[in-house]
Amino acid sequence: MAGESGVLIICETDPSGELRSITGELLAAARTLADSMSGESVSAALIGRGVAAKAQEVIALGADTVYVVDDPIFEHYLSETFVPAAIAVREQANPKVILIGHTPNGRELGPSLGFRLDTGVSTDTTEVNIDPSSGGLVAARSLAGGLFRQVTAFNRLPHVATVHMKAYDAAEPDAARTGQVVNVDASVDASQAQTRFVSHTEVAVEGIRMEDARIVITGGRGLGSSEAFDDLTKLADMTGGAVGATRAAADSEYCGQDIMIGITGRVVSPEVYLAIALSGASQHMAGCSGSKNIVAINRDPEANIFKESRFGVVGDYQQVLPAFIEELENLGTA
Amino acid sequence: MHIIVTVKQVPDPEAPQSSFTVDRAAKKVVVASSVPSTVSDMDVYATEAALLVKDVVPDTTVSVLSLGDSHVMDVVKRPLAMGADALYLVQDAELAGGDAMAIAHALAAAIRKIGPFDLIMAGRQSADLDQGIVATGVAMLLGVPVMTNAVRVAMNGDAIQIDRIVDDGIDTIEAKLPAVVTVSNELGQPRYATMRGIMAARRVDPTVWSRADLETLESSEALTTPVDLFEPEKSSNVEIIEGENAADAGRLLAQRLRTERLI
Repeated sequence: MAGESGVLIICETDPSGELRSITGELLAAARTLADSMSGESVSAALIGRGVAAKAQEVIALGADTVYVVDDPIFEHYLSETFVPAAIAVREQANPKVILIGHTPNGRELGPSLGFRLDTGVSTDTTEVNIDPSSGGLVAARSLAGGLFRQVTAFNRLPHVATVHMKAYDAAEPDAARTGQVVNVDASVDASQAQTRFVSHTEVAVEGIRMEDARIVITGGRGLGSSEAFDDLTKLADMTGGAVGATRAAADSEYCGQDIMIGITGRVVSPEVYLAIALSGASQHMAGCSGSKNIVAINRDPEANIFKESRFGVVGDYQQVLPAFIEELENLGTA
Repeated sequence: MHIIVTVKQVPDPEAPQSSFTVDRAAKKVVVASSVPSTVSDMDVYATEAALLVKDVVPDTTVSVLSLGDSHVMDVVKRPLAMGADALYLVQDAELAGGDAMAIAHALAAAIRKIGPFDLIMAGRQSADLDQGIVATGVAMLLGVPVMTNAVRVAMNGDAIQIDRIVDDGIDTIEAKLPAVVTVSNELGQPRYATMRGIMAARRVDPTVWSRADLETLESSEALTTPVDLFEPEKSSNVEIIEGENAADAGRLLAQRLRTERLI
């Protein structure tokens, strides 16, 4: 296909049909790219069941054209149905760049789409830019668990990148923005499907959802026991925060795997990230480096976490933390 | 049933960070010779997933396939010591250093040469590059479905069923065989190698191929160009809160965070 132009993003919706926050983040990234492509346009693929009503919201967040693929077959994500749908949109939008969230589904969709389109993919991309000389995408990502940064250019169009969650801040929705809505018939034949959706199980979250919390309190292997995690939960309850863990702590079974933060866990960017008895290995930092204020308690003054922190206390958490909690109780609610 | 597990040998990511440096001109990570090699952690979980299927499906063979240029036998035989049956090595520096597309092509060609398969299992991403691309590519090139990030695998009749973690819970999905499944660490602790497994692994002679042996290898030009590789600068300006003792420092930290309206 010749004449490629602009940026296409793939929206994500939750089971109730609401746009996921990654959609706004991708639109913000796409807007920046399109503006540096001398004002080319941003389009969005909205694929799902009953999602057409959300098109205006996608426009308000920065899209110029929304391609709606609305069919009961897209109620649940399966690569086998979403890849042809994304390809159908790509054929109409003909973008230079395709941005997809590096989410559980996006990290499957991105490479699948790349291979189907016979083009390169950058995954878990933390920064996207347009190279002024080539006009093409350059994508930066972490490597070796965050130790190094790698910048990649692409040899064929379209250029596909999955974008790290929370790497971009969504724009405030502008209800006055106008755009075009185009319905696309992806005509996916489900009778030939090799994969099948069986069921979805909601996992109940105690307290506040980690990704939404203003404060995240994370414990590392240095906590030494599951009882110590109870203290973190107490602190979380006091401060309206959520509790997280490093992979080392989860693998030591001090807590569940579901609260693991890092390159193989969840990604958070709270206002305050309280890192307790964790060293700050790059694999962990990949999940929290977007935090606004990291506060570290660790007895090793050389621990990497101090290099990433705004405030720190060097000391054994078993002495530091009870006094910290007690003082917060004395100070009362903020 | 025939399961092929793709396994990558990587420098031990637990080695001190100072053992890893960058040759910025060559855009390559340089690993100190003292760093031992290991099986990429997610591939150990993939091996476990394959063995869980083998545990319940009679007459299952698990083959291990690894592409690289300096295989250490004790490392790539670890899946065999856990209970896998056969080992195929593709040894080629140029292939191993290629981009994700080139590696997927090479693995797909090797799998075709190994013969018919029912399942391919791989770790969700490698411990050195963290890309999570290759297994999906292998599925696309072989024309079979792919399901990624499995945290549970089970046979359901003649289909493979998996649980995968999604944003607000767990999706259960399944695929007809043959299929590719990538596995995540939430699967649970992989089994240890047994003494009997280690002895059996020693007796296995790997099948070793080079690029020239992969006659079906499609030529594939690189789809990406490395532009830069560097160590991000960390500007450390941490304010260490000190007190008369650790508890006092904890109190002062609480006060400081309150003053800053952070907590």
